[in-house]
Amino acid sequence: MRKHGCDSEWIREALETYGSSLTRYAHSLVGDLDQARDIVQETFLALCNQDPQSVRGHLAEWLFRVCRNRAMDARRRKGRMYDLTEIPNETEGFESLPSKILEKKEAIEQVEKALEELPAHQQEVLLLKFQHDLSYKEIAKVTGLSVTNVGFLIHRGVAGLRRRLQSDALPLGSQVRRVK
Amino acid sequence: MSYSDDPRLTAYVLGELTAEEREDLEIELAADESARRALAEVRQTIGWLRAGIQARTPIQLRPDQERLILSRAEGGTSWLSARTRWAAGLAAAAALVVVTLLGFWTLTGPEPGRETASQTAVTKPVGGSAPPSDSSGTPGAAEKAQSEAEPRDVKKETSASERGPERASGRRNKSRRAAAGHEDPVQDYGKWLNEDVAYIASPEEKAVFLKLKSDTEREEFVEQFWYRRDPNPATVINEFKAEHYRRIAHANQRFGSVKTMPGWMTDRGRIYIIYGPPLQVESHPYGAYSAGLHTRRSRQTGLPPERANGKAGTAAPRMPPLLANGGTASSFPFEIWRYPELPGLGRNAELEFVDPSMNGEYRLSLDPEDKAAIFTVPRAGLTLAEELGMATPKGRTFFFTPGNRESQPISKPKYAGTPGKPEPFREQSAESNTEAYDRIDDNPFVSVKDHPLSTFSIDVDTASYSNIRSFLDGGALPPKDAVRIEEMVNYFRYDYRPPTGEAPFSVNMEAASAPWQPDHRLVRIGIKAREIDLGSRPPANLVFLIDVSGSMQDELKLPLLQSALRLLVDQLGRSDRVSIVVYAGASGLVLPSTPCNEKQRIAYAVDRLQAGGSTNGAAGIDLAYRVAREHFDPDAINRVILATDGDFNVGVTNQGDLIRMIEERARQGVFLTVLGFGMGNYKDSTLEKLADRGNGNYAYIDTFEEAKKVLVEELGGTLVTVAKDVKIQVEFNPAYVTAYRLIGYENRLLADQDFNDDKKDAGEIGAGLTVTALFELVPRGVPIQIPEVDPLKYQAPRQPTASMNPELLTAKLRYKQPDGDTSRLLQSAVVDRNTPFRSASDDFRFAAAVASFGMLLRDSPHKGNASFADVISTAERSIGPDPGGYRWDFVRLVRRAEVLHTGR
Repeated sequence: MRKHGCDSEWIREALETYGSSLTRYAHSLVGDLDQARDIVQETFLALCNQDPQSVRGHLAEWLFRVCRNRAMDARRRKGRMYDLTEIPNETEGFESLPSKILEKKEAIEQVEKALEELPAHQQEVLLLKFQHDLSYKEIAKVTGLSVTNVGFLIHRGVAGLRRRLQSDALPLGSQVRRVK
Repeated sequence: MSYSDDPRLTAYVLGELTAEEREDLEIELAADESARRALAEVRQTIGWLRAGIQARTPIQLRPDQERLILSRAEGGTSWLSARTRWAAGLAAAAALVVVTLLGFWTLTGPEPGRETASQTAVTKPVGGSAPPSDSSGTPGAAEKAQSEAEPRDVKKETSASERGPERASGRRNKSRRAAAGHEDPVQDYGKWLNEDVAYIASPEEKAVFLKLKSDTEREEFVEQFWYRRDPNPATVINEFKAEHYRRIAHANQRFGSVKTMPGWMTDRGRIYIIYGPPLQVESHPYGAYSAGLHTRRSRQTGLPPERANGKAGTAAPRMPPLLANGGTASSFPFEIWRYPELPGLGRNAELEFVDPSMNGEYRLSLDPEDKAAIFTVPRAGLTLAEELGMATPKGRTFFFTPGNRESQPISKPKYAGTPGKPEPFREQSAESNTEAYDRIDDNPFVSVKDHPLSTFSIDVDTASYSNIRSFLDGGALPPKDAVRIEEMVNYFRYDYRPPTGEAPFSVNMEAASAPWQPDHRLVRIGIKAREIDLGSRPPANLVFLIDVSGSMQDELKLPLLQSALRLLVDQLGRSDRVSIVVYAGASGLVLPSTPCNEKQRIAYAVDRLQAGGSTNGAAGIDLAYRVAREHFDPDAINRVILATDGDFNVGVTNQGDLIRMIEERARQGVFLTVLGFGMGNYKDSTLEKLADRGNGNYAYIDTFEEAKKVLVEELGGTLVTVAKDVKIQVEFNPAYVTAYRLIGYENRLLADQDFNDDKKDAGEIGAGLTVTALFELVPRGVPIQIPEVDPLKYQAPRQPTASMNPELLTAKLRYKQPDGDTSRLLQSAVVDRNTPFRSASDDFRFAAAVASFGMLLRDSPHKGNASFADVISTAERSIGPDPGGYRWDFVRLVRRAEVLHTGR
């Protein structure tokens, strides 16, 4: 019979569950793959020093927060900071553009490109939400913003994304009248 | 404020609002169209966003980095007594389930969500070798080394180069799927059924699966199986499936042994797989007396006495665990698992596992009944939302087109509403339910003396059966008037002899005793239409006329319709043409008549259909027929296919005018097929009338399976008519028959003189289809109460003249060629050989069972001794080969009806 509850077990699980997404997150913050990996490695090494009970229930938060802190340190050293609370000038909203019809497949392919055009802080929270599936609360803890702020940023980000996707969309071949 | 700026919309979609905020917003949404539009846009964008992001390739730590971390972790550890669990990140409304954090990132390209779990994970006992080449055979599928008895990693795909070679000797290898994107089809379906999903598939599902004939069907079943259980279909990953395989892997790692059996087969494994990780595990590997504080437990409840008696108390010395055979185990290893709740044991349930053989195999120490109660998951097959009563199994539409998952709109979650938040159960209240059925009174017995002829129109509509199925699957008995027995009987295929010679169909009759009334005889008249070689069928000129009014927005309507249309178009080729006309408010030509080799263009048009607005059916129909006439080809099949929920509730909808137009067009050669969708606004009688007059057929599509049946399997029948205006007239021989009753066809009766009147419209038969009619006869000598007509004063009574003729009855059929105007006659007679029911053919007995079921559902005065149990046993014994599993499914429905019926 194996003894259970060995420390290495929970670290291993954490690694398997979050290793990849943390690496991607770090990469989105620092841009350099090797540096990102180093940051993530440090994060997990730090985790080894934690008592599992103390992070129980909010492991994701903890990992992302620690990872982010290190990544921000790295950015600071390079002078690439950005302010999360900055409010963009452009008005963003969901104006319907009735003449542009989006083909779903095209939209998906363009998402990457459109994401990159968004301001950095919107990108970050969008990724935390939609790639790493953190809740608003967790994102708030990770980034240090208020939950309301997070909600705003995400909504703005989604709206901005949609506008960018729609302005890129090509009109389509067949003559179609929108019937509504 | 403008809703487009309102962050609540996004928060709503993501499940981040509090209950109050949600309610407030929903009130606003209900009242404001612009808000709903904005919400729809948010949803759509989020769908794209998720899909776009998940399409990224994953990146990993380097192997040496992982090793470093793990070795650091293993050094300097401390003993922990309990497993820790991770809180959930899901937005699902999980109340009962112990949630674990699922952060599975399968990011390998455009086929998201395909589970990477090696399907053989379950079948390999601990200590087995690496799985065989079920990994896609990609060269360089790397091995991931692992430590002792590591669970198979079911979570991630990694590119082959990321994982390094074996780490150290003595560790087992595990092969990985290196191919991006594609899920391997299940290699061994037997194992899938008996091992992978043995604990979570319901007996019904298993039975259906066993009846499947082809790997394609099985493949689809498997997909469906998992899709149904996906708690959050809006995400790319099927969280349920991932967790299920994780549990299996965990069980194999922890609970199995080489000497006895793989982990998943053990008691602990089974509990773990079905119920998930326990809240707490108390482990006593050295037996009872190594434990600290002891507590006596009550034999009955399995709970310590203070809990059993409801009072907090002091701990008493622990008794050794009780074994199933009544003995005790004082020094055997044992474990206690605690769950917040278990069926059969209630809250704060504790399970005891004992290892009396000292070989690592723990057994659950409970009474056999308790054990059985725990191991049977009574609601297996129901999703979490269904268990909570917040969604119905009826809502499980089949969204897949095999091999073409991209065609499914990701932004449409399975439950309308917040992804992960199930839609509230729709109550069938009398006010909200605007389904409309014409009243039907069962045909009574009539005396042969007064009514020697029975005349009616042949019918091949099947909608009533699918409608009934829809009700039953939704947990309700169907309204009696929705039950048309002839449509139920005709839903199934029978193996009648095909026609020879130039007649477009053959007539096959059989007679035996009636199972619900053994004194009576049952005669089945079966018509089989000529098959058509689909390869050589005439080209099709089809116009899809699609209702895109607001009521079609429901997931059971427009989205299902879109899948169905894609299916149909897949069957068509370059010499066929399709066009799409929509109607709602304004009508529009969405797709001009397009040859069917341009599938992308057609698919695109179908995909872009959106519901909204109210209906003006008449204008749309007009346009559709105009388009059909523009491309009319006398050698082609010219047809309008109307897809709707029957909701013609706005504008000028003079039914009479509408019907006249449809009839006129039918005369000119453009026929009509009607496909009904959805529930609640479903106007059955309107749709049936339209199809009737349009010389077409009418089917109700409630599931993707049904769409396949109507539009693929029976494509010939749906599109190609081999005979129209088919009428039947039966004359009974009074020497043998006192009275008779036609079962069903109440809507189809004709006056006797209509039989020879070619101007009278009747039903059509499509290629390859069968039509079945059943008569219940009262033989001479059996008493029956029927009102009789007084003898005439001015005319002598008719005397039977054919008393020496052994025939029971003669059936005459009149039909017209599809493009003809004069009818031809066919006739056939049957002699009764006094066959008992049990000796009749499978088809005969099955049809009789279906008719019995119909009579029970209608609570018909003529149901005799019919009972649900009899129906089930008769049907089960006459299932026969059953391609497609429809007969088997019938049995399932009867069982459901039985339960619902006794529960009333």
